[in-house]
Amino acid sequence: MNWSFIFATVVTGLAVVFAVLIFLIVLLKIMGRLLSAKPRKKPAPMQIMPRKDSFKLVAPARPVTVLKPVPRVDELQVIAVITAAIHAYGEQAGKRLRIVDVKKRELNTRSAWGNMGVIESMR
Amino acid sequence: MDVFIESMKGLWEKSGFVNGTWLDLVMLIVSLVLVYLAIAKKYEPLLLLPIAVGMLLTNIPGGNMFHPELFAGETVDFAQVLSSGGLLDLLYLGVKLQLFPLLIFFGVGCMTDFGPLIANPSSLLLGAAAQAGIFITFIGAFALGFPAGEAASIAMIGSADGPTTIWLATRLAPEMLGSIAIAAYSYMALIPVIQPPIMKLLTTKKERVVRMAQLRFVSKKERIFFPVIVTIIVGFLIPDALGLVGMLMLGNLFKESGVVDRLVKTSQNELMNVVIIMLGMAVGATAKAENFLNVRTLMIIGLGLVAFMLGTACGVLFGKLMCLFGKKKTNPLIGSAGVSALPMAARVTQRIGQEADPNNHLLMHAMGPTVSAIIGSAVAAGILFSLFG
Repeated sequence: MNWSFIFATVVTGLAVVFAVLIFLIVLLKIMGRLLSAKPRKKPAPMQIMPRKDSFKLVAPARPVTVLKPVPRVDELQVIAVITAAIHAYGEQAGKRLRIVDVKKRELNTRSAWGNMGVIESMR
Repeated sequence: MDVFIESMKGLWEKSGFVNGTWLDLVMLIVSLVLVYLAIAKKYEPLLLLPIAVGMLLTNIPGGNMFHPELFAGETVDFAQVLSSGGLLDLLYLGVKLQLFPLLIFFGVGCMTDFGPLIANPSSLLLGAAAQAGIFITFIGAFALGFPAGEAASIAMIGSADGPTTIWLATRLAPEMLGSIAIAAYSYMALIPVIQPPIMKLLTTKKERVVRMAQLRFVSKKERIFFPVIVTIIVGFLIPDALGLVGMLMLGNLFKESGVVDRLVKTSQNELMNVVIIMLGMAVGATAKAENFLNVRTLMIIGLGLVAFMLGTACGVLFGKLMCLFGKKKTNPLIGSAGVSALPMAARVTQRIGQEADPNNHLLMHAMGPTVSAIIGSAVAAGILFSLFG
């Protein structure tokens, strides 16, 4: 097997991969035009109550604090995914939400009476 | 007393302590290192642990769990495998007959949301660009003396797609399957380490903070038509890729149809889990000392890393092109998600994007290239198989 065949393989392979995917792009764009749903009505702005014990939602004009403390890469990625989800949800609801702080809390550190108080206040 | 001594002597002579060689011992150590990486470091444990256990079982001397000679020829004598094969021989039939990688692709299809790709079809280009890493590495592997089929199988590590890599290696380089699979899954686990330096090196701060427009809403009709269209088009254009793409899209059609929830739940959980156990053990079993402990394995590991890095780099560079010349704003970082490690590559993109601008959320934009790379790598594997199979 000579080098010209190898280079021909590489060029052919890349060209075919691009050709197939470009063909799919064209079809997807046509499909999008034919089948895409009409833009939905913008929902009324939702009232979002800030919770004191988890994170704060603030106006976008304020400078943003970077996530802290930085524990592990895994946790950072989970936090990144959650912030992305909150951001997307906020845009759909017509609001720009930002997480300005993330604090680690031990679970079940409240007393039973404290828990009851939180449950009562969230009803 | 003589009978007792004779029995003990017989047992001793059959034991691994007598029949084992130092090569077996090295392989046992390698498999234990993989067990450690899977459990302590959590490197793709769902697959690495079964692979490591398969490797451990096959390398215990005298165990006779796996007989590679049964699968050595062009054709397999199934009667002989069933009558004289061990557990791992039976499991390997699922790999040899392409059953397990395709079933995994079916499960992946059931779990994948192609919405970001349908909303932004241009991201297919990034999924295609990242496949350049495969083809460039193919040249390198061939230059190092690997035959074309083996070079193609090694280069496929750059797709970051385990089932596709195993699918191709089983067909073109079955004796190297263990080394290739171990390298592929190890690098997939190392994506958060391998990709960020390349992403930062190839992009400027200004490019990393580019904000992309919110993806449009994708209707249910589009989601249902998508897998059908892709199956037909890819099936007609690259018939050799139909197995992989067809099963992926069939799984996705099940998911999006909304009428077979029970089947979808089974495919996402029980079916996937059972197949992963069997696939992992069977692949690990092929890593015997005579195949694994040689310079070629080291070369495979090195070339796999090169393929991975080149795939990432090509994706980012193509993202830069789209950023410069595209109609819509494109953040080049999402190009790195053009390797199909789902969802790890997209998460890394999100993290690096947030490091540059904490309010920039690239996760959903990066999902488009990632899922398109699954299709792209299946197409690339089909092309390589049609050329060298």
